[in-house]
Amino acid sequence: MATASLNADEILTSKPLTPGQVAWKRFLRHRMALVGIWILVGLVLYVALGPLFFSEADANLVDLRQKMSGPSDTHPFGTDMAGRDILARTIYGGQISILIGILAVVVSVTVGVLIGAVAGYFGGIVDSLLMRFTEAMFNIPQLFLLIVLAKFFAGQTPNFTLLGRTYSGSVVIIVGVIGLTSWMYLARIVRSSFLSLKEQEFVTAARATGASDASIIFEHILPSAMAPIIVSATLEVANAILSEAYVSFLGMGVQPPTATWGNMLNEAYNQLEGAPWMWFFPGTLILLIVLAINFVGDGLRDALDPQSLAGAQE
Amino acid sequence: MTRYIIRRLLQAVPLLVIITALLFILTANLGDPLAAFGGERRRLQPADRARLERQLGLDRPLIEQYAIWLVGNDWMKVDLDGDSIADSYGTRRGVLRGDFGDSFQERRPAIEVIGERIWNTLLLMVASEIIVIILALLVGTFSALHQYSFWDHLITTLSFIGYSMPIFWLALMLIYLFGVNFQRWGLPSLPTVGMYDLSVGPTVGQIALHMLLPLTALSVVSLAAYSRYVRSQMLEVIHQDYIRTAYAKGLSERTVLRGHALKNAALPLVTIVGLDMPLLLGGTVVTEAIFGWPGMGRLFYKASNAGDIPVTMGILFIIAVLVVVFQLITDIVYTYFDPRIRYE
Amino acid sequence: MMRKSSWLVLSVLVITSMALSSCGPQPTPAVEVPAEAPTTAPTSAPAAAKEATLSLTSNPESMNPLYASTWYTECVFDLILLPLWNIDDQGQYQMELAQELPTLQNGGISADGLTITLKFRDDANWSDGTPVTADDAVFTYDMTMSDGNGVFSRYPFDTYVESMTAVDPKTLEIKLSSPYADWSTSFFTGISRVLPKHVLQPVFDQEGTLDNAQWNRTANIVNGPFTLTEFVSDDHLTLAANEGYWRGRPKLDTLFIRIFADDAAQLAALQSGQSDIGSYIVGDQIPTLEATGMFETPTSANGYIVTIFMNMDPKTAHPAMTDPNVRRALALAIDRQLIIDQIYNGIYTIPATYWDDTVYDNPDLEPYPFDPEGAKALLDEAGWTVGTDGVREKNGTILSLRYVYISGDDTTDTMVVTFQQMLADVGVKLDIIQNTQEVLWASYGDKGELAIGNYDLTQWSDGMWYFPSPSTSYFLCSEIPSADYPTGYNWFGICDPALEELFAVADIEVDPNKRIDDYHQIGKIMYDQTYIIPIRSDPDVWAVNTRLKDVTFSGVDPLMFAYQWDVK
Repeated sequence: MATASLNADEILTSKPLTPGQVAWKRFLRHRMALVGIWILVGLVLYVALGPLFFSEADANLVDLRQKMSGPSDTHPFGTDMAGRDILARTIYGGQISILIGILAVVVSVTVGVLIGAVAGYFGGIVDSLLMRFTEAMFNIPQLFLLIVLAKFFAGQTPNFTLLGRTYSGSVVIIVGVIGLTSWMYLARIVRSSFLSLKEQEFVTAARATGASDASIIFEHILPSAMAPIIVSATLEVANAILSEAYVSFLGMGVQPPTATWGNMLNEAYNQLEGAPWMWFFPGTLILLIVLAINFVGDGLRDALDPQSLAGAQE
Repeated sequence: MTRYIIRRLLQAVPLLVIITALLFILTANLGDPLAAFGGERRRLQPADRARLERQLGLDRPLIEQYAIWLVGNDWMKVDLDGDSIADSYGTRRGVLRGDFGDSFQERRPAIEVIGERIWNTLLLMVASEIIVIILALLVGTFSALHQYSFWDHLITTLSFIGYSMPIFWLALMLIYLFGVNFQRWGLPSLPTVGMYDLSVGPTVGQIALHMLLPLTALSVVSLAAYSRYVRSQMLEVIHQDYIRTAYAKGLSERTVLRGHALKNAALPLVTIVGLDMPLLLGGTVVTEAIFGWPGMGRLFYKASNAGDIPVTMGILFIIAVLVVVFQLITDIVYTYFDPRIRYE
Repeated sequence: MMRKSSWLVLSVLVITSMALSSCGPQPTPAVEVPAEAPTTAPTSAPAAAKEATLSLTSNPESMNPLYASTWYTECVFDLILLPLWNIDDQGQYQMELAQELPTLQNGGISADGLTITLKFRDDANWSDGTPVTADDAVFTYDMTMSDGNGVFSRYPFDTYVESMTAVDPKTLEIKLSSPYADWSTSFFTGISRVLPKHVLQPVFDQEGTLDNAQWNRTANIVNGPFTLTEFVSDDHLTLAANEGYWRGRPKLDTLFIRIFADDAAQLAALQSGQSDIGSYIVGDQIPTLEATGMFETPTSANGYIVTIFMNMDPKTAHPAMTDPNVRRALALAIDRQLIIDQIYNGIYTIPATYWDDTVYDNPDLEPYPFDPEGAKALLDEAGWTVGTDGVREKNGTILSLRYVYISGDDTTDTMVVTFQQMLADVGVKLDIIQNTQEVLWASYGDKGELAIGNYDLTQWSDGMWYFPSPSTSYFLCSEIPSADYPTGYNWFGICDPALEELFAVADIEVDPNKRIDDYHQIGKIMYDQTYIIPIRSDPDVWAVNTRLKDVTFSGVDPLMFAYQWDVK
């Protein structure tokens, strides 16, 4: 039979793909990234729809007689040291862990992009000062800053409400610390993007039309520099979630009785053998979400980075 | 080049002063170090508390405390006996003359306290870095050359799992598998705490044996990340034109890879390693705590929590100096790799 | 071959690490002055060296008692430095440096109670052969009071001692400035020990201070059952049997002390045999230890309890907390037996007073019962009625209380969230805040959270600091911190004239039975007013590997029997 005829007219008149569509197609070819997306969707649904089955009070309901019982009908994931249901706690804990991850990245991206863009665009003294400041921030270990801020603000930051749930002030502290100690890499990347992009013709053209500096930075250059920012931000969420776990493990995480995946692991530290369900579920959830985010980030990097040939080979 | 180095070092001085001042303010706000004297079960008598605050210099305003930390107080008169008359010379010489002060927790020079731990952490960290770099280069290159093969996918997946795992979870798994459970199953188990067996002493063999588990925990995470990085760098490099030219010229794969590709792939790795090095000194608190490794990370964590200003500031100061120095070294090493880069 | 630049990087790293590792870990150098003893050595060496390992979960601060303050350090002193006497679990005095306990009967204490004379034993020697004399004790006193030394505490010397003199090398005379009933549990015993004058006087003469003495770390000359061979800070101590100990050589040849960062690490070490004796075991670890079949878990009462303290200072407290009925309601709402059974496997008891399990505990008082209905009734009567969200309120103020506590212990975390649940069941809302000691216990001048009254409830383990002596100044009005007196430690705002009177009387009471009675009355007042809410007893719990024998402890001087410990 005749194969699809190559109609010259068709080829000439079909619309060329936009960069976004090219990226999308490349992303779709990255199998692991797709797996990652599915896992992410699953986890988000888990924490978003879970509240339909369990209330927050269920997650914090202490019942000492039920403590450390294994998975059963009434408690599918078992209970923890205070007899609280682990399934419910992973749902509400997941909300906070994910929230912390996203908010921390919002903070670090905002700061990093601002500093990197301004440094790269204006150059000169401004660049020098900002880069020295970035270097100075490298000097402050994240752990140290966390200890200082946690001690200083413990019990003094007010609770805040978001999407119908009240969060303790310690969440703010952790978001702040993780965010304020991870913007430096992004600032450097953004700065080098801006350094090269600002010499391009479209910038000269924009200046010629009288656009303000702010407009040039945010409306003209930034969109072209988005690729590494998106990739970096995605991977940062994974790091932030791991940081939260790390910080909770050291006992400086979100205050009890609020659960996060990280502080659930901390509680389970002493019960590794005796009550494996206490660490298995939050640990696996952390692993899954970080894995998924890393897959997606990797896919994004392949899809968005024009110089990466890994995607182009297929 | 020499002028460049000197200029960078000179620029570093005011930077360090500002950084240390900032850090000092933060450190001084870690709480009252005297509050923990006595442990949980005994409180400091009020008269003793007032006296100790004076003797440890904690009753001075913050700016004065910082100045004393920096330049000492043996050139000025202070009030040692509480009669509000400054009639004796102080005893501190200041950081600029190498005196970090006495640790509040251990009542001996902070330098001594830090010095005892610094080698232990360096040992662990440097060994871990070396293993990771070598393995990352090997694994990453292999993965890049056999892109999309089964092995590549396996390695990639394992790498992802590796750096998605919280390190303390991994460490605890290792302990329970190789330490507790091996022993229970009658297999030769690996030691899980400390640097050496107390009855045998700090021999090379003992230390190496005790290093196995913590090294594994540390290396897995970094290995995963670095090998992915090397892989992507190698991929980028081997598709470049000059590599194709080299093949066309008849050079063997080995020569091409090792001569050209690896060098260019290794360059960014050097950058990362260079920047990571000084922060390694902070050690990883958690790994050291879990494995009972007497290192700087644990010391730093304890000292920070206890508000032990001399030790905390001592460690932060060392880290700050090293960050500056290593950034300079990295920039210089860069020029060996990329002759196009020149500094004036 | 790899290009030379890659080699450069690698070789730099390899060489650096080799250079650094060859400098190697630096344990403190072993003893420079050998511990020579004039006694005859045993004629035949034992078949195999007897070793045992004890573990602690906190680093001993210093080998010099002047600079030490924690229980853990005190444990080490039990092994290397002798006190005048030790006190065992039955309250019996066991003489060490002193020949006998001075009393009124034997003339050791003067009739007015202000002069104490005691004789040092003849055969107590330092490990270099020098005899231990009264001059050592006088030296220790002088060093404690000297302005050149940043000692941890001058108490009780600064408050009660007028002078100390060595009448002759073996006779010490202490003159008190006022009667002091507890002198026998705090003078050169407990955390206070006698220093070697012949070692440290030259150091003080030369440097003007003992703060940086080498001996503080190496303790190379000691007089206890063991000598210190090595002290690697925050890691371990190595102790060797002291041939010159006046009772004779201890049974063990070597005792290691390992220091772990936390309870979980100690537990893992116990399970894997890397520690033989575990200290301060928490109740929830008992099942794991029993499951191994390798351990016994003896306990010693030590005068400590875990109790809730409350802020009732009218200037800073929540209005509800100044009402004793509200405080009583809180006590009734907490099911302490359930907590002890479920979290701690039932190994503790519920105290009724601060002086639990001693003669000073009022025998007529029963611990507060668990009575949530009674709690609700009391709160209703006090005017705190349940609002729409289940939380009580009165005159527009909700009964929401701030519970601060020191972070770091899993079981405490569980206990506190359990409190939160139990109090919520009676309509009291609890806000939980964790922080470290350095922040919570900072002085009033440093804006310490407790000192400035920024809390409603808190808890920790507290009790008799000079157990078995009952005295405390915790609850005195004069100890309430203020701008004029920022270091005061009555952070609870307890100021009760009846209590003040009783404490003042009890402090100078010389008749032991009357003193006991005074403390019974004190206990009753504190109970009636619900000034504290005791939760559980907090005895020393040890884990002893069954491969050892004759391992016993004391609640007062924990390791006083170490010279008897033996391997099976």
